Amino acid sequence: MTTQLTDDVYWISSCHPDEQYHMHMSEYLIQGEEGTVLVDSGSSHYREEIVAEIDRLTDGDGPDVVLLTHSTLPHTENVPAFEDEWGEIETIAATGRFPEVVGLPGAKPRQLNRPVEFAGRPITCIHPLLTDVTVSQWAFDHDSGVLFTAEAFGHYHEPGVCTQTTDELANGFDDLHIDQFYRDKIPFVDYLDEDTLGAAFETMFNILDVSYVAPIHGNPVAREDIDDYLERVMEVIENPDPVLEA
Amino acid sequence: MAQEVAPPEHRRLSDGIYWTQECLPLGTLSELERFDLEQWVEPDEEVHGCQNAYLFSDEQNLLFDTLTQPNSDHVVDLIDELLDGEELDYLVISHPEANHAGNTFTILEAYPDATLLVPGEAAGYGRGHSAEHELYHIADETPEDVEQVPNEIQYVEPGESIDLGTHTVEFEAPPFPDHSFTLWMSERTTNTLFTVDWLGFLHQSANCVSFASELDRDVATEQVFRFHALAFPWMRFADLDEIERAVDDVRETFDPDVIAPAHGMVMTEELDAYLDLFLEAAEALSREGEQANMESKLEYILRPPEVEQ
Repeated sequence: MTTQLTDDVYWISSCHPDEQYHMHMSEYLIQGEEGTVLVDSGSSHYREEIVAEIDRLTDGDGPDVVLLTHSTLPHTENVPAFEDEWGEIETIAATGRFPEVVGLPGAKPRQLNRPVEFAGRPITCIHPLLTDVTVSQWAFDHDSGVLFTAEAFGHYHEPGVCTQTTDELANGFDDLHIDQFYRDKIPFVDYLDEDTLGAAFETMFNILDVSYVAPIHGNPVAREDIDDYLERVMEVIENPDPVLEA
Repeated sequence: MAQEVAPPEHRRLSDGIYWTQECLPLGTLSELERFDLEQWVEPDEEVHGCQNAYLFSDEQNLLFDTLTQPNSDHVVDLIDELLDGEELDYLVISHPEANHAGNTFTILEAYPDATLLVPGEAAGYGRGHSAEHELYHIADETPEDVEQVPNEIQYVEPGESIDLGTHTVEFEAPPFPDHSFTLWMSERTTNTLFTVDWLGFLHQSANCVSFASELDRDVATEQVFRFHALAFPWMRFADLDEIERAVDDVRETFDPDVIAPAHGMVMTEELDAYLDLFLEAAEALSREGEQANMESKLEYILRPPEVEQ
């Protein structure tokens, strides 16, 4: 399923159902004037539908660049299949050295902390403020204002809202969806200091003019919902007793 | 300078336990000018990161982690050599990252009777989402249909143990989690704690596959700090009281005689000193996350003059 986020950024999502919730496995396609950049490669579980959707969006050409925010499996495992489908693709790993160690022998190492043009599109990659693995990066697309955040900013969702951005959710965020996601995916959440992490987030969003925060595992978070989302995450960090068990 | 993952070296850790290590050359001081290395490395000396895997040769044989895909041509030969031609009975994956699990299917193909043991429960509060799906896909050479892999695949949980004969290994919930599916392992006979990503450190090229007590110089806080800055980036924003509590948990709950990490040297003596060194490193790392530092850093990175906002 594809949802248009901005003029030229598309959200391609697959939904993974659990006993209670759905969880997104998402990729994002930037259709720049000079080429296309696919952010993340999705899961092999949904390989056929992902390939078909990218093929449709790129008129059969495939992406010019694959930019990975998360160089760990399963987030990388469609890259070889993409090259089988569309030929060699410039792939950027979320690691500064030895992409072969993370299973991406043909990828280029990342370059952090300055704008780099991918298919003519200036994108700045930074160390994540919050991540579950070291081989990850966040990427800010300067033209669209979309910030791609890998595992961070994730949350589960109910069936029926799979293609909605957070500003389209009739009832807003469900706190339990955020709470449960962090307790499942970010196992060090109780070790974090909400004041220092919260201040870092505040600084970053004061500097960047973000239109959407685009996670792998959640509905994209619209600009007006970012503060609410972060407030909920900070409550998860501050509260050692899971709300879901209250 | 071209940098390649080195072929694995190995040594005997104790009777029936082998330590295998592949090193990642990270360059010399001049190439790493952003690092403050003077305390522990000479200007013309290379800095290494490393990946470790541990092999038990017993009545039943067990390998903990796989080394990485650049060494896929070496890893089975090494296991064969150390097991003297015996079969591998268990392959344990600490967590499904490629640098720990990248040779999984190469090894399973070589040992079709080996049982693959993978973490079945996330380290966080929940069971994790889509665990089964994620854990089956742990190498870029994953067979198209993993159901056709002849090996038995089992999920293991903290508290489960395996009697190998002389040795008994037990799976442990990690006091210092990173990936949501990480499992630590302990071994009862030798009281060894396998801490996976935690308590690693960078080392000098002269010191590969050496016990920490054998190194030609003391381990500096910088070595521990730099490694954890890479492997545990969340520690920049850590509550130091929680970190100290977790270290106390390691001291009191496990009280190991040997600590065997995945990315550092095996520690066999004065373990409290290394735990103290980690606490110093964690404190230094938390200073990086302080508001004033993050403000100046993010301003510098994200508001460059050439990009109009």
